[in-house]
Amino acid sequence: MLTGGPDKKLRADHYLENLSAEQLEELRWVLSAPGTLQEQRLLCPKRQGGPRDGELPVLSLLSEISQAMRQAAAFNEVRFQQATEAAASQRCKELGLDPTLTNAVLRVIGEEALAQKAEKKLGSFALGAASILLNAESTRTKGKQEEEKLTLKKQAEKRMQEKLQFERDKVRVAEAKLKATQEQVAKLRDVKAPMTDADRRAIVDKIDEIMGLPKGQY
Amino acid sequence: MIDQDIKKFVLRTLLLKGGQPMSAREIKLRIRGAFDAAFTDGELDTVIQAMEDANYLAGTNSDLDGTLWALTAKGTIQGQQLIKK
Repeated sequence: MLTGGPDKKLRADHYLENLSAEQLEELRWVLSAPGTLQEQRLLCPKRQGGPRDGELPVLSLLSEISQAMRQAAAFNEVRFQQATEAAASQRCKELGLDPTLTNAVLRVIGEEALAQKAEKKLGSFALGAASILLNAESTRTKGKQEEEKLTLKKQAEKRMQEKLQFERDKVRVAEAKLKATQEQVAKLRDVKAPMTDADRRAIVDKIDEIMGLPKGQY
Repeated sequence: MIDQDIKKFVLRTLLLKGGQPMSAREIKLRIRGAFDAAFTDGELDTVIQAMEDANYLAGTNSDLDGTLWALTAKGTIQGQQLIKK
């Protein structure tokens, strides 16, 4: 970052260029420690070689290095968070959760983590945010269940109506049969009704039977 | 100068997120985490707005988590160039 990219190099007389690995690590530790830049400057490794050999680095340079370190740490944090979110997202996908909602939950939790880090506190880790979104999912699921219930209720009502119609048809047929039978019975009971050939034939047959004559002799 | 540094930082961060958008709150938190200066919300909103005006960022509205900012094609190219530099 300070050099402007991996292919470019620091000037030969740059403060960092002449520090050993141990001194670079010491510088990193000093700049990561709490305190003002002026306080940190006093603990920094001194310049090695060149016209300013043995001098402490200037504040503007330390500020630039500190800034670059913070940005590098911020980029590493993004990379780490991305890897964590991808793993969590994959796991949620395997569990069959809605990806849109999962991403939203992960985003809110990530933001909450950043905010807590900025405030240097560790609270109930974004559980509030997660529970809000999970409640949204639960409400949506409940809505779906209610819809299904309503559909089932409508289907049951329809079946009930069909059953009722079938019963009514059955009653109607039975009533029609009863009416026909009643009409027939009423007709048979009517003594004044004119005698039919079948009646006459039945009387003759009955007399033949009483008289002991063979059927159809007369 | 610092404005340019912030814009570069936002482009690189969004590029590292691999196409995932960020809310304004997350962008601001990340900027505050990476820079020493104490920025106000208004200053950072101005930076985001300027990046949208320059067509580096595009905002989309989500029912679940409000406005989200993602890189445009121009922003992606710019971010990739920054990483190569």
